Amino acid sequence: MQCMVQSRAPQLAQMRKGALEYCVLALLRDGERYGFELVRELSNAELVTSEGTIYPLLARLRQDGAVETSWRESTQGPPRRYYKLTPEGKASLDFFTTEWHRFCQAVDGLLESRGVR
Amino acid sequence: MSDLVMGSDLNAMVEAYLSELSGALSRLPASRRDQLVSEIREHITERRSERPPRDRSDMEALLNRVGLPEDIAAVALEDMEEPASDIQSALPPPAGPPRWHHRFSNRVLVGAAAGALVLVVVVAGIVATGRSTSVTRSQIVPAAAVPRPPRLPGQHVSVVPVVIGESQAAAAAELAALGFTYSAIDVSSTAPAGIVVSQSPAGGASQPIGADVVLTVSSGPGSSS
Repeated sequence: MQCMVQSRAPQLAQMRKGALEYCVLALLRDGERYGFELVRELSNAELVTSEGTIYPLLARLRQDGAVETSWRESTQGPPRRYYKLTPEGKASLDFFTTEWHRFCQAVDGLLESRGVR
Repeated sequence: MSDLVMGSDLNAMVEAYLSELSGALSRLPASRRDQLVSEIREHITERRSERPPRDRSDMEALLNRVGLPEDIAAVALEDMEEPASDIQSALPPPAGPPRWHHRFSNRVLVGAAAGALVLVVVVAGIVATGRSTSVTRSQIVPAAAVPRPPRLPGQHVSVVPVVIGESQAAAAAELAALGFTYSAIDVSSTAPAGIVVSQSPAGGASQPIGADVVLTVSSGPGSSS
């Protein structure tokens, strides 16, 4: 039986992007944050390397209705754009969380048994 | 160099960077481009105030972390390009690392990429699944509910169907009809035995005709090897 999963560079990029979206949503689970805060957290967690790429991602999440934004005055510097999870975003995050755990379990099972058949 | 001169030198680096970014984003509508550029400008300002760069090489490192203008543009322009169904998109990319490996040494990426590889592979399946169907643990969408384009004569690529939730036999028949081969891996799962619990490539991906789709099939609960 052939069971070879090739690693494909464009798919990897897609995957990274896919994961990031939900990491952003997860960071917003406990309340609003502004863009730079989000990027800093993702960067610290080594989930993002080109920090600037998060901003277009945030724009897309907003377009998709997963987050909404509002401007807030800042004590230092210009007003900041704050991001907040919408009910749709929350539902999407919940779905992902469930699937993620299930999938991890399945994959862990496979990785640990090193090929069941 | 005096602090003042150095400061304006560093500012000039930022402006050069932002203008390159703006150029890379030229295909975006002006309003979105301006917004993105101003967000990145803010980001750079925040980073600078956290730990002020002392010289050009500090500033270069800071801008490296922000990323190559073309990488940021690539993400921004994604929404503008419909998921391609043409052959071009199904072809593998040209060999060799992305350009920015040459221009920017990004230590973080190498470590993160290695570490995140497994994690990231896992996510892809989930993301693709979540996007294309409404399959959940307790709900399985019948195959017929998901519309699929028929395979056209002379076509070289085909869209991988979502077969998660189907029996292995049904999935096999469906994949064969679209010109794909498949491999099956059994895994113990809470799903009923014989049901496909994951697939790679994910449903919705364009793949060359003849490509192999790896199916993970449940062998039922508690029957692990």
